[in-house]
This record gives sequence, C-alpha cells and structure tokens, in this order.
Amino acid sequence: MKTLSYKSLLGFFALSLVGSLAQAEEEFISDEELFGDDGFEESIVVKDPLESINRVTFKFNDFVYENVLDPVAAGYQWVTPDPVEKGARNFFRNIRYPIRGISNLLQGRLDGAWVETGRFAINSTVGILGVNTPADNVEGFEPIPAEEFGQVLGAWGVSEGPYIVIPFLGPSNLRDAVGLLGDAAMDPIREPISLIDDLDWEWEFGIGTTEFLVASPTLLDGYKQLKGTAIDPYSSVKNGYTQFRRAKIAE
Amino acid sequence: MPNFYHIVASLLAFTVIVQAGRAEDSPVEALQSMNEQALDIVYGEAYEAVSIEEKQAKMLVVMDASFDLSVIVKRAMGANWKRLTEAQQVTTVDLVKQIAVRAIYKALDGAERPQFTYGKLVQMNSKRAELPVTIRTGEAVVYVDFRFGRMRSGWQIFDIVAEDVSFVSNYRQQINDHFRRDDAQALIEKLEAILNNSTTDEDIKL
Repeated sequence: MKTLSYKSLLGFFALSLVGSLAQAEEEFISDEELFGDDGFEESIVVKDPLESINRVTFKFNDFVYENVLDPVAAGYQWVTPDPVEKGARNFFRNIRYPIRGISNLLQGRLDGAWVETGRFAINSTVGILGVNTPADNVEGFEPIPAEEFGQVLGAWGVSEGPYIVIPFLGPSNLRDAVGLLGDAAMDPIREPISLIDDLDWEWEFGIGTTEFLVASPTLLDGYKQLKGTAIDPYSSVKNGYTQFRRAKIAE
Repeated sequence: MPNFYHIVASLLAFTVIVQAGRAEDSPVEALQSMNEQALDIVYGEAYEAVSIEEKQAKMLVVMDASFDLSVIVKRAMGANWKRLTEAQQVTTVDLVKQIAVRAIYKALDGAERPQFTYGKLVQMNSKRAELPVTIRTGEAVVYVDFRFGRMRSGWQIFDIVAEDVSFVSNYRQQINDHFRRDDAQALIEKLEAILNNSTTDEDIKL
C-alpha cells in the first residue's frame, strides 16, 4: 500500500511536470512565429511598378534636400527667433482651415468639422490671425489630427494606387497626388478661391517660398531621422510613408 | 527513503518554478527601468565628465541587461535571417545594437530630457503584449507602442511603433529589398557604413 502511494505521488508530479512544460512551451514564441508574419508586425506590400523612375526622383530630391533645402532651412532657423518661426507655422496652418474643415465634412466627421471651425474662429480672432493658438487651451477645441483630401479619397474607398515619388515634394501615391490637387483647389491662398485679388506669379512664388521655408525644418528633421539609420533610404521612406498614410486613413 | 523525498521535493519545486515562470509578469518594469537608466546616462550630472563613446557603451550595457535585443533584430530580418552565417548573424546584431544606441543618443543629445508616460499593458494573447507610451519633449509629443513577445528567455521587445510606423515592418521592407539585389556580406558593409557615418550607398547620392 505504502509503495503504491509513493508511486502514485511520483506519477502525479511527473505528469504535472510534463503537462506544465508542454503548456509552457505553447506559451512561448516559436521560431516560425519569430521570423514570420504573425498578424502583429506584418510585412506590408507596397505597389511600386515605377521603382526605377522613383529611385531616380528620390536621388534628385535627396540631392536637393541635402544641398539646397538643408542649408536654407538652417539659415532660416538661424535668423528667425523661435517665437516668429512658431507664429509663421501657426499662421499657415490656420489659414488652411477650409481644407481641414471640408475634408472632415466630406468624411462625415461632423465633430471634426466643428472643432476645426471653432479653432479657426478662436485662433483667427483672439490668436491674432492665427499666429497664436489660444484654442489649444479651450476645452473641446484642442488640436486634432489634420484631415486633407487624400484621406477623404481613402475614406471613400479609393485605393492608393502605385507608389510615386514627386519631384521636390517626395513620397506619395496616385491617390494622395490627386488629393494634393483637391487640397490646392480648397486652399484659400491659391486659385480658384484665392483671398488675394491679383494673385500673379510673383505672389505665388513669394507665398510658395515662404511656406516652403516655414515647413522645411520640421520636414527635414523627420527625413534625416528616417534616412540616418536606413539600410536602403528609398525603401525606408516608401514603407514609412505608406504605413503612416494607411494608419491615418484607418483612423 | 530520503532519496525518494528529495526527488518528490525537487519535482514539486520544479513544477512550482515552471508555473511561476508562466505567470511571470510584465515587461513594463524592465522597460521603465531601462529607459530611466539610459536617460540618466545622457542627462545625469554623474555622467557629465564621461565621453560620448563611454556613455553610449554604458547605454548598451543597460539595454543588454534589460532585454535580449537580438530578438527585435531577428524580427526585422524575418526569413532573411537564415541567409546569414552564424558569424554574420552575430556581427549583424552587434552592428544594429551600436547603430540603435548611437541614433538614440543623437536624438536625445542637446534636447531637454523627455518625459515618458506609460499606459496600461494590453495583453494581445498569452504570448504577445503591447504598451502605449507617450514621450514628451517640450511641446513635442510622440506616441509610441512597445510590443513584446514572450520568449523562453522572458518578455522581449518585438517591435517599436512610433506614430503608426512599425520599426520591424520598415526594416523588413528594406532588408527584403536589399536581398532582392544583394547578399548578406553587402548588408553588413552597409551597416558598417551607417555606423561609421560614411555614405557608401550609391543610391542616395547623385
């Protein structure tokens, strides 16, 4: 009886141990899961039939960013006090309210349109033409992610189409490139709804250059960070842009 | 029957350890501790006189002690990992770790100390978990998801997703594109070039 009891006890522990080990093994990541797609960090597929042309455009843009934009942006940051730099950024963002407002409406995001409208009203008045952003501190009118026409098309189910690199502007895809045309059409500075009566090429050039200067430090920082540790900068930017845009449209 | 009791006691202890191991908890403390130690190295008064190279070496020691960083490198390599010889695998992991530390140091150096706010760990399943973290530096805010996988060695960092861009997905794309045109040795040469700050990639210069 005593012997049987010891054996039973031993058997119980042995079984328990084997069971625990087997169960524990199932709860660890296997090699297949480690190297494969497991639904969490899947390799994304980006349609890139124009890769050879895109790579040339990427080289061209990279050359322009490194040799023209970077020194100009550095000079702009050096001569412009931080508050002025920030105010200029705020001004251009504020004046583009129609793009964000209409894009929210076209996606049926009434809450978003309301917040953007409220922010525009507060920042344009109390914030002196949008140079300051007092709406940031008004409950219910805190900043929200900016919507634009490329996202509207995405929300309507338009597929992104092939990946393209636009000279000077950088990464995009067919849908977002069309979206840029939509944004331009809603832009209150540019035609057809320009607030400037006699918008000629000199105005266009002046405004374009100023906007470019204002936006360049932020854009360049992001670009340099992505490129600095990239094995293949073209692939890195292509993948980063596509992941970012897909996430924005899925929001 | 002293031997019998020893055997039973050992089995019991082992069973308890295995069960405890499975219930082992969360990677959050390890991540918090690693981040704070790394930030102390960059910003702490105790390290003011320490050279940049030494600081980076110390950061690497902290990171290595907290997580097995080869796991995220393997995730980023995906199926291409098996194209590397064992020696190349060791070299690749070592180079990537050094590049990562240098990039982190460069991003932090000169900026004010960032504030990390940790969200609640979300258990995706028994082997996967995700931790949302908000990083504030002055007015700039970056949202990062740390993704963890449960390995035999414990919870390990599986991916870092910053502003919706997954590190693993991004590097998999680059590495897949690399292996379409080149081999493992060329990959190592590129990593060495990145580490040495020299641009050997003909693709990115006119």
